[in-house]
Amino acid sequence: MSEKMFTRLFRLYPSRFRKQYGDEALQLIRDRLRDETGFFKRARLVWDLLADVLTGLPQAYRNSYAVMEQAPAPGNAEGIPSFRVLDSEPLGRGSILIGGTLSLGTIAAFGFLLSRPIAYITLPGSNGRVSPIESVIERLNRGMTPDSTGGGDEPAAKSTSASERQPHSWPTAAAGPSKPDDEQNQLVSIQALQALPENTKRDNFGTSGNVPANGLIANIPSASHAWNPVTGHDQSLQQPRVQNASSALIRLFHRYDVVMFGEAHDSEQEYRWLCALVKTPGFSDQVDDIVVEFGNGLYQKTVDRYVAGEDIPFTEVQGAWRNMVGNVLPVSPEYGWLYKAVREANMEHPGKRGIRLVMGGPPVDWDKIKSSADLAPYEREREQWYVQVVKTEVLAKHHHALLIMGAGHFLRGQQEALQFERAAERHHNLPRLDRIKLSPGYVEREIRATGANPYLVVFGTNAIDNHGDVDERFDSLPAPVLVPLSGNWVGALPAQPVISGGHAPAIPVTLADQADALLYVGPCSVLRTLYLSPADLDGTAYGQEMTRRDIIALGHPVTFPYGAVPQCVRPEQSLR
Amino acid sequence: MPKRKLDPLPAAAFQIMLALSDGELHGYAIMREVEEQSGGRLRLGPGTLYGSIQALLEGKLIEEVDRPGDTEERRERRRYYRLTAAGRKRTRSEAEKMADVLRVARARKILRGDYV
Repeated sequence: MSEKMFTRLFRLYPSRFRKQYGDEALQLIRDRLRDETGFFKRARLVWDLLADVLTGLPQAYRNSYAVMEQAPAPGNAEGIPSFRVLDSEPLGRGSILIGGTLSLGTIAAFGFLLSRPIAYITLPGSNGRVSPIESVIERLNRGMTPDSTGGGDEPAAKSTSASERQPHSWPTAAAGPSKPDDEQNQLVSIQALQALPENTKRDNFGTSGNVPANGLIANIPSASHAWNPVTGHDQSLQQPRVQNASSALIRLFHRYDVVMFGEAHDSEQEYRWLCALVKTPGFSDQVDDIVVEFGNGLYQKTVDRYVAGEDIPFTEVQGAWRNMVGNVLPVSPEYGWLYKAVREANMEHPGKRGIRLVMGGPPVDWDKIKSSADLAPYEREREQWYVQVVKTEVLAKHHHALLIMGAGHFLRGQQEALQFERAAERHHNLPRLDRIKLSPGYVEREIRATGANPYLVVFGTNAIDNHGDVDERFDSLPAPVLVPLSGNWVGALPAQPVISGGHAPAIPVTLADQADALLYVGPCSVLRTLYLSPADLDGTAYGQEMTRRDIIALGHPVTFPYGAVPQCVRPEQSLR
Repeated sequence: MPKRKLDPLPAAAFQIMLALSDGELHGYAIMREVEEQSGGRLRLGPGTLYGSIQALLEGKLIEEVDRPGDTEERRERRRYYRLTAAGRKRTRSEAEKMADVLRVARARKILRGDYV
């Protein structure tokens, strides 16, 4: 039986191979049949023959058989394309039929597979990294299921850049929550805006969902009448899938190399959560680096030694965050908490490669800064410096990193949002809403340009306008939570007041437009911003130095706030 | 440009050359020798065996030899092969490469127990 089977299988080999080795190969089979008796040995022989076809056939076709036959050299000159006949015998009808049927079947199966959505599955052993092909599949699937809020326990993956989405259009108050279908409804009524009395802007994002009749703010869908311009669906009733913030953020690293966290500077509750996060079991297994804006590059070596547990005086490492560029007020003590938390987390696992704090701030030597001209290059190139550090210290090393920077540096479409906000304040030259093109910020753009696939989390509150109104639905969220923003009422909220804690007004840009997920650590009523105490500043060398720096940067000294102040109700505090 | 079928040297081709290092053998004997020297892990089927032999012949690493006393009919069915000088040199070179890898593996304590 095996001899017959082999004879048939042998027909698959090129004729010159058969001619050359047919008898000898058949003899080999006979030898084996003679020597290998019994059920198991015969079964093994059959298996060997089948496996041999798969492995030996390519080799048989690659050989030229020129040595034995001394075939004449082809007439074509080197480099000129030509066809070479691999087999001197014509193909039999059976071979053509089988080959043709298999080819058609393969093409049909491939076409069928292409037309099906492919479930995203992290490949075993891929360490959570997403290949370009996986990234494309993920993006295609998102395109097919726009209402998907993500699977399993993870926040919904949503890496599609804002620039790839459809231009936004919003329902007017008159049109209600339905999808606008004419150009008129897609325009902001400038006249209505200009006629809008100041006191009518207050309740436009009230939880009742009643939309006032006229005006810019009225054109923004309320939380309970949210029409998502991306999906085109009314999502007013959809609840977000919320998850414990720490474990959800750690799980993000199964799928993303880089998680960008847009922070609210100086928020006490936010930093308490960050400190707890770095000590959470599993964080150091997933994350190699934390790149911080509040870290002066000059101090990298000192910080490396400090977080590794070496005996470094705290005052020596303190300069890393106190001497950063970009802060007007004395730096909050919270930043020191995070440095200390990373050191403690690393010391809990001696001998293990710990978390590295990477200084993302420019390496400025403040002793050499005497004028605004000295400072300007550092101020101007903060984001460029940060990006460069991420590229060299994280991406080039194929690390996983948590990037922390002020939310304004990370939010998608932030420049456009601020531009619109300024235009709205002046009540003239309003851009058409459908012309607002939201693009990723510089940092995200540069990271994506390297092929990395970042996920953007932003800190947020329950404030939904700049007049103290809050959305009570946040009370049902078990803070601290990470809320994926795609396809739910949180994502449909106006981004600017939520992120700024009510310091910025509502404009027609949603949270889902600007980020992938929201970190919610508690309501405005409990959030506090923490500053240094009078003892740390009044008459101290650091206090005097901060005054000197403010005069250089702003031309005048700044009155320092002290201690803990409410985060949401004093817009004048949002100076950075 | 001709395909470089033997660079890097496939495992089957190396095993065949190793089997021929003790002298000339015919196809079935090569198969048995390879099976023995690989501890039963590698059994070359006819396609792989003769495909590799053909590649080695084309690469002039082995050559076919006539066995005195063989009848014409027997020679037709049983061809004997042996290493050429170039083939022996190449076999030694490949073995040395493997020895280098083995040294590194030992130094890094990848190999334990019986392998050390």
